[in-house]
Amino acid sequence: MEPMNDEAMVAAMEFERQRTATERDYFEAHVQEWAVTHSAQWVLIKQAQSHGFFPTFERAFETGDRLFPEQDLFIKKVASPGEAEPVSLGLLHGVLVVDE
Amino acid sequence: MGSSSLTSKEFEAATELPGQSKQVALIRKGPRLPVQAAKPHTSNAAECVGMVDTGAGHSAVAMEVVKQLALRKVGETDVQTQGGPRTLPVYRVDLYIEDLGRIQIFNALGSPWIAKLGLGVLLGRDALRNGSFTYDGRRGRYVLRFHHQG
Repeated sequence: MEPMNDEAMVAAMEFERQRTATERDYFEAHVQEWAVTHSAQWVLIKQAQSHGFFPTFERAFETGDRLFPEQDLFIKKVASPGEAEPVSLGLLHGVLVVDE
Repeated sequence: MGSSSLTSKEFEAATELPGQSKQVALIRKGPRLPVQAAKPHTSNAAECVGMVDTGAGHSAVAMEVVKQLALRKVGETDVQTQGGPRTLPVYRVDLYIEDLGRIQIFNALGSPWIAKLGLGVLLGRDALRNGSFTYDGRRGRYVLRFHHQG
């Protein structure tokens, strides 16, 4: 598997962003009100409509998969602005990438 | 009541240089293994290199694999990186490890970085939720075990 060059990766990430642009716009328009009523839950969005709030990603996916089989979905955790989780300290902070 | 089974497989680090010990190879390259990534309910599949990363809560799949398999996008996640917060796409993907079977990942992060490390897949703690991982640095080996519900 050949890694993409930087230009191709930027284009690929933008393509993926656009796949759920309508859903992201809807999320961003409502996330502040949801942060009060559904903090730390996962919201399922398809087009410009929410289809429920769930305690886990898996529960949201099960519902989305039943309603919209094989289609793209937009599931995202309702979090306060700026709240992000560290995914991997090793990978994201460069510990793994050491040239010797 | 359903039955359960346990599968287990031992891996050893691949040495890169003559005279290099497996102990050093495992330190340098990490616990890598062959993994097949697949799009569920299709014949889309790719053989790639995976690595176990118990420091990662989420598994990740290289964007190169996402593109090749046309994976189903199922959401987005905000992650903290060295360069600040960033939003990454997440995907539904199945991972197959020979002799160990299928691991279903419902929200794998699409990673723009890991292919440059020679990786197609990073197996995080979500991939290990029904398994165990034993790291034997002295022998340059590691063991994966998975429980399967029948």
